[in-house]
Amino acid sequence: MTDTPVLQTTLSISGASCQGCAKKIRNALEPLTGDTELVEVDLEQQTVALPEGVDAAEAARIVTETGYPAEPVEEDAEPASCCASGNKSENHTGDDSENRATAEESVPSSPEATTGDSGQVHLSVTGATCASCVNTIEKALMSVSGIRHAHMNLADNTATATGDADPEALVKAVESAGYGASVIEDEDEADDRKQEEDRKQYRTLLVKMAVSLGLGLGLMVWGMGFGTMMVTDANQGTWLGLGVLTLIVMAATGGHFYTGAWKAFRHHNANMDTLIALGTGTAWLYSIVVASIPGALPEMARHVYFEASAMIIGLINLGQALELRAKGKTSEAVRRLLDLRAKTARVIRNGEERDIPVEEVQKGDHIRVRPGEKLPVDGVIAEGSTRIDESMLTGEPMPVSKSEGEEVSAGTLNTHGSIVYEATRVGSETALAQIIRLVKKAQGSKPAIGRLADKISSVFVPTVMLIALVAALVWYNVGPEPAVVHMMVAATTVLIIACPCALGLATPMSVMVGVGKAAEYGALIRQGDALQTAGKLDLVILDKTGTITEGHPAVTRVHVSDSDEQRLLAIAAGLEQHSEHPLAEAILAKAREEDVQLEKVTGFEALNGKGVQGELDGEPVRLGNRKWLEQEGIDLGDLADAARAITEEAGTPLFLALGGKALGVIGVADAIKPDSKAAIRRLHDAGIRVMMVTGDVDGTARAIAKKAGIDDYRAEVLPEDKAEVVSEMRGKGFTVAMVGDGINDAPALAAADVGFAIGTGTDVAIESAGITLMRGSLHGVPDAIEISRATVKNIHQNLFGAFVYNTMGIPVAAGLLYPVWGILMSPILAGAAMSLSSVTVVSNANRLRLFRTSHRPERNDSNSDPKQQQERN
Amino acid sequence: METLLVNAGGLALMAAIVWWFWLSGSDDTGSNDHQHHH
Repeated sequence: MTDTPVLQTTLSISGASCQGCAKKIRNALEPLTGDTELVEVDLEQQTVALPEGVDAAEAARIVTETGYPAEPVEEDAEPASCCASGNKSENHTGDDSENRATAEESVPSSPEATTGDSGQVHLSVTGATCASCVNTIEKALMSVSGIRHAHMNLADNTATATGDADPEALVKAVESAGYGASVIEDEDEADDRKQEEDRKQYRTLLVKMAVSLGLGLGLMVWGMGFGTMMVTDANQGTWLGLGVLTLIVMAATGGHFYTGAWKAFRHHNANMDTLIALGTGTAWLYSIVVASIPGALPEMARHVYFEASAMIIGLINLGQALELRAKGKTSEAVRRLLDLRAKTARVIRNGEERDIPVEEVQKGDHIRVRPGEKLPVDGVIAEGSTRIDESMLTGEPMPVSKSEGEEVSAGTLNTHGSIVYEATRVGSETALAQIIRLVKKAQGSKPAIGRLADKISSVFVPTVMLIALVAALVWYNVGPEPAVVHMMVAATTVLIIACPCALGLATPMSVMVGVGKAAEYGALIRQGDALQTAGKLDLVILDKTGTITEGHPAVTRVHVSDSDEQRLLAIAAGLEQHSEHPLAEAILAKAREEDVQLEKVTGFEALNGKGVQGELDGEPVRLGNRKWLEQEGIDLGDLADAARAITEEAGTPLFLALGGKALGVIGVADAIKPDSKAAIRRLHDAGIRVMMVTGDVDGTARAIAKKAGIDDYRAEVLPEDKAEVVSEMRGKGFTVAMVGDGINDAPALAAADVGFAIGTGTDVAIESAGITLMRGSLHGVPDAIEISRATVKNIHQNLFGAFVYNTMGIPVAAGLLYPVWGILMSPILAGAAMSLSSVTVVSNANRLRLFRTSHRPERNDSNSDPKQQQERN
Repeated sequence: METLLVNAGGLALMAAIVWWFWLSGSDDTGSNDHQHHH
């Protein structure tokens, strides 16, 4: 920082790698700041700090236009780790674990959570075929004033622009870049329309393929079988006629390549269309020159290549048709979710039941659902009880019992009784609608590896054009006769084989399938980056309560020293009835179970890290940890032994004292989830270290860690310090995942490389983590990691395939093998190979759909729940 | 003469490609990707 005015506005940028970039940014911002010295560019943090009063949006636009995508940093986008200190008053005992109430009032926003759907325009884009198209479209959108961020998803042909701009201006920008665009207003309608459009486009492509391939094959057969591909005086007229026919067919079946290429060219861009247009155009132009003035060329060079132009277009159309069909399959995960929605709802209004379209259901409506019917909206059961199959949302295979007052979700299936429930969330607010949005968004997001591929391919096409020219000149100057023919063939083949369409598809296709696959397993992945990073994890930190354990503590042991058990419970529960802490609930539940009459305790007070206290008949009553009571001068006597036994059983001992005398100790423990141990073993099998953080005392933590098979643990960690543990482990070089319940662990989730929010059922805090597990089971973590590893492997295979194909293909096409083996590739073969490469990439991504995680019943513990054992096998 | 013309034409085309896609890009790629070359 320099001695400039207070720097207040900050932009986050990307792509600035050197001092030259920094200078360029400073210069670009000069009109806005008045002085280049007032702009601070931090290359390491990739941020730009601006003086107070500068319009951040305008600055971001300028920097983006300079070539470095920039976004203003929102003030509330501070890393979440700063916001965890807002404790509620009631922290229970020091050895009490998780202080769950902590962050509920101040749920921190993760860095990703700040931008909602506001200010976003979704566009359906047509005509985009490759990575270069993606670049062109994103740039076209960014050029619209007010747009801060633009993202094109090639896998489902949609684009999202974030910022403040007229949707029509965005459509125009995309159209002027050479593509079709329309604003998506209603997602459902858009899905249906897209499906219909895809079907239509598929048929059109097949017809075009048949026509162009038919002509090309016909010419080839005719030329080779009955005549000659060489132009002679006798057949010159015929070839001229065929040349014109070829041109017509090329325009009719491949017109989109030429218009696309031209529009991209006007915008100083080059894409796959450019290569196809140049390749087929060169072949046709050369041939028509031969057919028109054969005398101008040496006799050996009077060869026509009309069939090549037609066949290349035919093969590429075929490739695109196959690709379109495979793309349809990859979005099956979303379609399956969409199919879960009920079409109608049986609403009770004015005492009358009638079926109405689900869109017309309003909050507060009472809805009757009979056995075997799907639930149309989210709500709370008002009448009756039933079992509900939630497997479609949570992956949990067994129907869950639900009765009055319990929440139910849209899309789940009522398997048993007839219920009436009150609608609480309808339309786009339902959990199902949110899940669909989330999956779609994640499917379209690009992990870092994909952005690299885009960057490469944007320089790739112009580079290929240069290579084609170099090859042509080399053939012309040092090649054998007929040099003109060889020159033309080499250039055409290079242009055709180098199409980067496989490169552009490699990442998005795999991400789409991977995210869909994860959703199938109840793991919602929020961004592509989380998907990529999850595969690299080597340390998983688990929160204890609600993650490893059930999260519902229960009294396991009551040890009385100077009282009877009934009285002990009566006093303890009398004190705890004023508290809402999980431990208090456990004691109250025990008192209810034992039918104990609660004592009247007054003056309740919760002491952070110690326990709770009050007054009973004028005497102080305290319930809390050992340290606190000893500090108060209370002799615990033989209770210490009982407490040790509780700790060894992974429980938390709570001492009760009345006046200055210890009455007894209550052991409260949170049972380990039946499948936690098996899930932790799966993580170990995957070569990942597992660590537990808890607020429990060392003894309890050790006992739980041992029971669950955990390598390492940190005891007595306050909720707000969990993020520090995560940062510390990251500092040691681990790639860290934090698994927590998403509310009180939000800072730690945000601090980790990948945060897993573990939710039970659909009650999820999806905004706070990179990955949300919809099931309560820890198995979701290894499932997500395995899927992530498989997806990243798939992306690597695809990128490797595409790169190898292009890097090997180009020299061969340029004729590098000719001097040694006399091999010169034909442009037709190049066209076929190019189409094949895209189809291969798409098929390889589809292979991921068959992926199964390692979750098998025989791998489960002996104490595994049989329900879990049935899962997915 | 013909050889000279063809070679000169080829080189001119190459120069034009470099200029059009990298150097003159007013709204786009050119400038962006160029950054990564230095």
